[in-house]
Amino acid sequence: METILKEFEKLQENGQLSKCQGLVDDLLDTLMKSRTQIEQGDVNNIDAYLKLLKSKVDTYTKRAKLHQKEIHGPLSRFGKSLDKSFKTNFSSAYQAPTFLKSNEEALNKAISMHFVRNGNFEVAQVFMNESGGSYVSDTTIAQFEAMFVILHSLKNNNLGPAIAWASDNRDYLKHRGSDLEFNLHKCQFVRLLLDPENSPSVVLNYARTKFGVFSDIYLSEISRLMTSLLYRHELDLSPYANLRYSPSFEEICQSFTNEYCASIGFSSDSPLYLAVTAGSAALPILAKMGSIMKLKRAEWSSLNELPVEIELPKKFQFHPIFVCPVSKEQTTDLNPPRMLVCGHIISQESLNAISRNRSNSKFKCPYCPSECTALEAKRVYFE
Amino acid sequence: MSFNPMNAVQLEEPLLRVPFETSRRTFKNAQKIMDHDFEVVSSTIGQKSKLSNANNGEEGKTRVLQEMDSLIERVQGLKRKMDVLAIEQRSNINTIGVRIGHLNEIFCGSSASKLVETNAEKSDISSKTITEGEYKDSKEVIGLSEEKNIDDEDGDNFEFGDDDLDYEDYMNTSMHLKRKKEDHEQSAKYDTFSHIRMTRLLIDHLLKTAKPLTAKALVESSNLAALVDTDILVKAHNVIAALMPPENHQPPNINALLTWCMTDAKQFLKKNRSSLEFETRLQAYIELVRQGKINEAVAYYSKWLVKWSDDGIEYYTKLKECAGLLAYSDAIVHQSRMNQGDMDIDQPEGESKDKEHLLVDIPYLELLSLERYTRLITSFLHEFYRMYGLFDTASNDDYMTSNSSPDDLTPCFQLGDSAFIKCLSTGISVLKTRSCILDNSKNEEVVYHDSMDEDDDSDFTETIESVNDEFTSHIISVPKPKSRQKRKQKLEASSLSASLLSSTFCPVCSTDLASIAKSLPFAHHVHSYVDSDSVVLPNGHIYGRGLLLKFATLMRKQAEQNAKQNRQELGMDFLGQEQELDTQKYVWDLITEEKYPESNMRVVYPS
Repeated sequence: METILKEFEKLQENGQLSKCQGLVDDLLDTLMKSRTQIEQGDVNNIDAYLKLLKSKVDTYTKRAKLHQKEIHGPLSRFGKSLDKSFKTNFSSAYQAPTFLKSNEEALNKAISMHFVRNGNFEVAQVFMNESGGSYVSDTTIAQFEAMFVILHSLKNNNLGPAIAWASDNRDYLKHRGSDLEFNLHKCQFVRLLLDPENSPSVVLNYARTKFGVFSDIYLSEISRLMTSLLYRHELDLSPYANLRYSPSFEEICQSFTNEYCASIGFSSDSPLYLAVTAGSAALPILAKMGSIMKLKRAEWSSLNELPVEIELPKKFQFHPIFVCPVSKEQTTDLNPPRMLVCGHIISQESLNAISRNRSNSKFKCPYCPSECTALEAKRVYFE
Repeated sequence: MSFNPMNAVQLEEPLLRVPFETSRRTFKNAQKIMDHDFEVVSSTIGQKSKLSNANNGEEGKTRVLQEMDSLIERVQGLKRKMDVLAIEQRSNINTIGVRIGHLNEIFCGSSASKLVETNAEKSDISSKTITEGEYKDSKEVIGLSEEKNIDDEDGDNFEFGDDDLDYEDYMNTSMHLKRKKEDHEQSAKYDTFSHIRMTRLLIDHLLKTAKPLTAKALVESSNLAALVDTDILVKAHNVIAALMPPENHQPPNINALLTWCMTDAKQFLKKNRSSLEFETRLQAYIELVRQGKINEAVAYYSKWLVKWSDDGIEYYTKLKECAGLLAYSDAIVHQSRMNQGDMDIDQPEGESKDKEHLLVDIPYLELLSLERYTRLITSFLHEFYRMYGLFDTASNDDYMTSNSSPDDLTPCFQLGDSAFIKCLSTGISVLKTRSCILDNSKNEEVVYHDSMDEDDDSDFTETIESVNDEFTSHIISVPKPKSRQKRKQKLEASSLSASLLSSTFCPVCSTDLASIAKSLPFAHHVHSYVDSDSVVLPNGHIYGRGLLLKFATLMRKQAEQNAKQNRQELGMDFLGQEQELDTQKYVWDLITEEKYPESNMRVVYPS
């Protein structure tokens, strides 16, 4: 990337056509001047004027070539820096067999949902008109519209609508074990607290009227908030300094989005976004793999599986994945995980192999000294 | 898939390649017209000046002045063209600049720029008083890491007030935290970048799938005009759309393609000795023959096609065959009229049979086939991608085979060309696990699992009997594990445990993507991804210990609330109930909500 940046700076400086423009201006100027000279000059000196003009034009032509070279140099060097930086050949990346046309409908639906989830309601509408299907129901759109209205006022420092939503859905939030409503009130309380315009009684009154319902679960936190009133004017130096920032604004917005989406049956991140992001991180790896395979003239030997393991960051781990430590194969319903008495887990097939298909004979666990029989090995389930 | 900026940038070659190729073409254009006009001026004046004395005298003067005027006019024209090109070039270079800036954003704070910054930062840390904002940020980070280390604390750390960290402790660990904060910032930057990339990919995809209105709306609402190549994609789309066979089986229109060949791509095609222009012209000629316009066809042939005959034996052969078509023009016209009613272009086999039946003796049938238009689209796209460096085709053959089943693919651009589709399908595969639930309704697979489960259940009860007492004695009620299929039922996003189970958020299981995911391959794994603090419950289900404790806290809270409500309703004694609750701690299965004493959790070693 640095080479690209460096070459670009040079390109920016020298790649413009302004010098060539200047040259054309000069040429035009010279032509006009000699025209006047010829017109006004001696009729017998025209040849001389022309010869002079010719030599001038020739120098311009030479200069033009020079200027062009000055532009061409940085331009082609920039091109080379691109060649050098982008070596990955994506055509050799593992390609999913086919992306069927029958998926188009589902894809359109997913795209529409993505727009709606991001608050791009107009774009969603245009998309649905253009592709001729109402992929997202009006109810869902209205639900998300309502969410973005609340988010919008949250972003404008107006907690009111969010608090109203939270108290309307108090039972639901309680059932989910969510702190959202309390946290919103907490934020509002801290805001009142920090505004010197408010008399202590206003702040206290807010706490009295709003915190009552939460006293059973959040008592310790409420008492913390109440004592912070004492340090109101030097909060930053007090043990309560962090009240100002917890929960943070982003946390509140995120938590609201999570709860709202969950309440209408959606996850908070657009699945399309997650998949595409995972894919764009994986493609370069697959491409690299692909070019190595090509060099070695090997073929993918995958059975409905990607050819290489793509490491997943925590954010993208949604299901527990169990790979048998003996056979290095993922367990399936046909080859389920089994737990030995000692707590080690191996796959059914490995178990069969180790116990030599005899369910009652003892064998040693491949990972520790304890012994057990195949019968004692228990079927376990990863979530 | 750890984050690596250079990897992330690899995919973005077209982002810089397209404006670069454009700016190179602008420059070449300027160079060409400049060279040409300078040459004309120089040679005209040169010729004049060589004829000594011929220019002198009044007559000569008028002639010279006339010449001069025309030269001046020419240079004025050149100046106008150069002005336009200079503006074009400026905007090209600006576009490159904006895009480099965008790509460079994800590099900040990492690898390259980190090296530069570390020295400066070292001195910074000691002297700088830590601002409140940073304090808060680091709190967030602490919060995050605490959640991960839940296994060695007990469930009570969900009480509030645990963020009462000592300020000095914080100061001591500030270096460590600062680094963490940097990582945090880096990932936030990457998130922003990913969101923008998502929108860019979508715009690109929309343009390639004939949805220009949506694309336009999205460009406007996202403010990303500088990061997408709308113009050239729209142009390409128009060319292709015109080449698609219309409903009425009329031959498609090739004018757009011809214009593209003659303007935007002229230099490129010439330089690469592409046959695209030839093929296009040939098609124009064939259409003239098909319509029976023999004279026009002959004129066209001699004007545009004959000149290719020297370019190689293939051209020569094709030209010969095309000339041969003229001999059969009557039959061809007759046949094409016949076909316009009932010919099915999608089935070339049937078509050729029909022809055999109708006109046994028309040779060069292949030239008349409407299939040629599909091939024109293919080679247009090939040249188009090459011209803008959009698509690295290792060889033409590869490209052709990727379109082998036209019925499965959308019209216009092939779906596989869209980077969006590539990323999406790869991403789904990367995330697709054997535990993903792709279908809610019963299908063959689930029924199959059912029968497996019956085996499993009997197996399980058997196992329970034989397992050593130590383990079974703690089980309060020996539950039959709920059948796999029941477990497999999609979790309600609104249920209590949903927010704790990451599988609720799996994009592959989501209704949006599940049906697309069905046909795609699974991810490949040789390492397990399970909670490091895994424990097994007596029913055989494995969860992270921390997760179970967290869930237990939630369940307890709920139970307390319910109990309190009941007490209030019944007016019962407060203390007695409380004590009863505390005598034994329980955990609940996150999915089946079965209840077990905490001591029944058993540590397992999955890996």
